[in-house]
Amino acid sequence: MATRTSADISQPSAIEVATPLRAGERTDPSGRPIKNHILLSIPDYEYHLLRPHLEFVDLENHLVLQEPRGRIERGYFLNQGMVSLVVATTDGRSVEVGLVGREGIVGALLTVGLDQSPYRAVVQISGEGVRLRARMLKSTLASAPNLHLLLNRYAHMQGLQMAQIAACNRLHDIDQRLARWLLMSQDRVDSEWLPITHDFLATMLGTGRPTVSLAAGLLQRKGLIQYMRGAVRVVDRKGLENAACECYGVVQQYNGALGLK
Amino acid sequence: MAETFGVKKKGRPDKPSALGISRTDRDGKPIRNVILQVIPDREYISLRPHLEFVELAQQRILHEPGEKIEFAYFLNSGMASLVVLTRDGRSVEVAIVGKEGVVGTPLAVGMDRDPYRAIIQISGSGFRVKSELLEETLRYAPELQLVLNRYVLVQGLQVAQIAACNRLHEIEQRLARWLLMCQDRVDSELLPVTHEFLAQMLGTGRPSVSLAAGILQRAGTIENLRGMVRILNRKDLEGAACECYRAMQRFNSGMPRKPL
Repeated sequence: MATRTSADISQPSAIEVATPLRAGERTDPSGRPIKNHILLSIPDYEYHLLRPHLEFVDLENHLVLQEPRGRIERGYFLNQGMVSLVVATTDGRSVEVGLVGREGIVGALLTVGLDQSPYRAVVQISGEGVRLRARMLKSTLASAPNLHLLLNRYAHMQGLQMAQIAACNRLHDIDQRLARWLLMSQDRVDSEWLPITHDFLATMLGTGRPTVSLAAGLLQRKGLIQYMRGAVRVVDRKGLENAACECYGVVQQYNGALGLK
Repeated sequence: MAETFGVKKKGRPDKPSALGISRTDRDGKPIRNVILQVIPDREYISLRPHLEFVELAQQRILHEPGEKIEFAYFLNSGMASLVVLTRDGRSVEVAIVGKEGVVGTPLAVGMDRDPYRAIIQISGSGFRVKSELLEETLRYAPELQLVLNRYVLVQGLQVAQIAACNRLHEIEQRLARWLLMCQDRVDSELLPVTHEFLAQMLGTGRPSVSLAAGILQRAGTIENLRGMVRILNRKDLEGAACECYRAMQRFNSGMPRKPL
């Protein structure tokens, strides 16, 4: 069949907004460097509108930023670290449906005037960021068209990421999905060490802990990763890319547009 | 049906009467697409000359993965699916679009392709608009821009729920959920879908679908006909579906249902 599949798409094209500044060329009100891609990509005058409302926040592991169906009080722009968006079912199971790092915002729904989130947003890899109150974000957006466009575009790309995860959750094996997850996480934290327990991985991948341990063992025996108590190290990234399902390739295509490597 | 921003819905939201608006395209065909109904007159009038009525036959492909999106499709009736295709020939549906939405959401954020196949699942009709003309219109149509952006996010919520559902729930629950979502968009008890097609949407094999459909039929909730499924007892079907169905109904209430 000559049909192109979802894995064969070319780089997405998008209207260029502006070349982002380098990390640290902007600071928050406490003088700390901004590394968030969206905040580095908006024009000066829009950033100045936003800046007084930004509040530095340490994001510790497992900190919950939003509960399912809770009101979204704040938007969080990450500078560092990673947050998972998790759907939790009433029987206590859960599965990750999206990942947010310094390329994005937690609380994207605020940009279209919605203020309830069906996900749990939980810090998966500790880091830091800046947050601002929902109404401040909303009122700033009216005079910040570039920020508005970037946030809407981010929301769209996050939807694409979620769709691929939706397909992946249905069609692919746990070792492929684990490899895909480790790669997506590494893209967001730029470190070969990922401080993650098997328990947490099981929750993210919607499976049991023994299954994750088995899959991690498989990847370790192939020399792709090394795992220790509470951390996974990516040893052979190329090899891990081959071990992952094609879904990683699909989401990776958007890395450039998101400001990830 | 869902509540709309806490306001109990009066009548079906798809009928012009519920919105108090009766719009037509340039040839006099009635507009039933909710997005085209809720935008202000001024914005609708600027879009109207660009709308082209199209019949949407079952299995028609609106765009392929990675292909440049030439048109946005505002559905009037029927249903489209967004499907992820994998290299080994498998597929799974990641979103459903009916008259509440639009196919071609990347255009709303200045992008021109996505990694899905968009395919008509239940035949119907709609209005298409060339991507350049939509982009041009959007520059002077802030409410349309807002409602499209909002739809992007509400669709993202649906996609996320399907992601969880695909992982956590059994095929009977997922089948029930799918039939309900489908019926919500077509307003008919007869859904013209084959088990083969359902298998592709649910990302499973045909035998698994037939087995699940058999269970639902024995419970008296549906009847399997040649190339069709009839819904006999919607209430019980809701009971058979996973919680994802209700969750997704709630998300749809995030879309405006009255004139902006």
